[in-house]
Amino acid sequence: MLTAYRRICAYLCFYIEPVTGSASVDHMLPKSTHWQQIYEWTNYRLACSMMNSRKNCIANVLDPFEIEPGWFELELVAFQVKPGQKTDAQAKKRILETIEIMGLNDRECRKLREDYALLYWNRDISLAFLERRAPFVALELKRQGRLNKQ
Amino acid sequence: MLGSLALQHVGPASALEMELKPRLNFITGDNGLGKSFMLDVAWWALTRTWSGRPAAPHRNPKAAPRISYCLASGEIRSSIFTWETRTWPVDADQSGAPCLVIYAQVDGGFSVWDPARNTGRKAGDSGPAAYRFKADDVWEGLEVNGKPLCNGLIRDWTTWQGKRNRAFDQLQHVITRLSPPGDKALAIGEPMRIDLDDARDFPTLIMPYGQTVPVVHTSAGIRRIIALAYLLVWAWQEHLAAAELTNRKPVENIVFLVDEIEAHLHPRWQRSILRALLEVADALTHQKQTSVQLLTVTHSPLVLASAEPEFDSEQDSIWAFEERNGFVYLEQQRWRRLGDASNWLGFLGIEEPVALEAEQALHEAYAILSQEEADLETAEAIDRELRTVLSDVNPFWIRWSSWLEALRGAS
Repeated sequence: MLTAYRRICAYLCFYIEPVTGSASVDHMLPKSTHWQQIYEWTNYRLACSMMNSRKNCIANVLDPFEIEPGWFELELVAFQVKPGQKTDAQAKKRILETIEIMGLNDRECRKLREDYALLYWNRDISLAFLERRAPFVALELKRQGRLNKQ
Repeated sequence: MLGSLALQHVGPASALEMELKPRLNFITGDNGLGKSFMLDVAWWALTRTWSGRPAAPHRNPKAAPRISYCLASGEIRSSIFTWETRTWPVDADQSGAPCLVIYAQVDGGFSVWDPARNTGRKAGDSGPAAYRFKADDVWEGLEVNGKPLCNGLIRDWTTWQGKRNRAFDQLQHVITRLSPPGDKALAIGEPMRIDLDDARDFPTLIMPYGQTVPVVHTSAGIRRIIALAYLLVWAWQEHLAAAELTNRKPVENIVFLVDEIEAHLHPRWQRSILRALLEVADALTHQKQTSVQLLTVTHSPLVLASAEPEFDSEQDSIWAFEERNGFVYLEQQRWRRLGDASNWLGFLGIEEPVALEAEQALHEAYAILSQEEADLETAEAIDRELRTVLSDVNPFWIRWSSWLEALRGAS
């Protein structure tokens, strides 16, 4: 599963460093209500320790697999995620709920995005490294024309 | 109000000096360097009484142990230790400070000095020179010379509540102010019996989760807050009564000495306690000109961080006890906004707000990063160590992994 996901957390979209007791697979559907499906491969998502500690049995969170391109955008001042401009009202509502429930804009998450972006802009890390480690940040920098000049 | 303290040959160093500001004064420093001792001396300077044992001077026959201090009037007073009687003598014609002083000790005890009641009294007089409450006395009441000085929180609270008098309004107000913001504030419930063999009705609080809990069963943190709230209201009420009996005007200054202001408090309460204490005095006295001076010992980065919006170097000060080469120093610190509690931890001497093992591994990583040429094998060993202590989403990984990848590529 780690290989299939290239160690990227399905919720936060960052590389999960191999540390003792970290990356865990997560049940998308709560075990308590969908116990007969607990061994279904398609019912698992890879989650980092931070996200895994937050997603317990919350049915309203968007399934990472149903998210369409453009649903999430990143603003590059405080590094918060927000619903994309072209999302319809219903998707927007679910996106905002997911951000709230998963705490996608709390300090720890914003700091991590900020560090990736600053290090890239500062040329401490390469675009290839950024794309491998923080694909969402890389995508947003590209979309907003904020990539470094060659 | 206390203006300054200067100690010679008493306490943790041969000389200590402290200039207080009129509002907030923080003392920080490691355990055992003399922070609480400074509060004891401040209490003595304000009230001419010791709340515990008198300060014991250094055993140096040539030295003349001395405590000097100045109150708001600006006149410097001194006391030189008398070895024969082992006392700190004070001039009989000099009275204590003309302000209400409340000293909250860390064991739950309190001392109260009321200039309208305690001035001019000495040991052996009809009344005490100051009021001392052990932790239980605040709750159960305190008798002095066979007369009830204070009925205690349990009795007074229910009596006030029955009468719905001004004291009860104030108590309610103070408890609301001391509750942390965000949540529903603590509210006062109806008193209830809790003991077969105790005829008293016990005051209750309605907790934010809706249940009514007798105050004696609430958490240590809440009990300390309500003991403080009650004692404030009690001291102020009694002061007003005494001022009227003695044809005096009520005081315009309240001084709080609080040892470990954060004791037993959840971080959320630690963030609001300071502001609450400052506001409480206004609420009690209904006079904006009543000023509050606070001298407090704290170990809490959150208490300090919470003071940032409030802090004003004209009115407030921060002091640190430090040990260097076997000597203890007390020095005023330059105030600046540090932004968050992690940085305040740094101010308190903790560089990395992480477990000791993680700090050790990070220091090894910093060391190899600062070398001109890093050895891959050592770097890999440090990397393995880091993986046993850091979280998978620690921002340090970004730089570290990128650097390690480059090092692997180079060799």
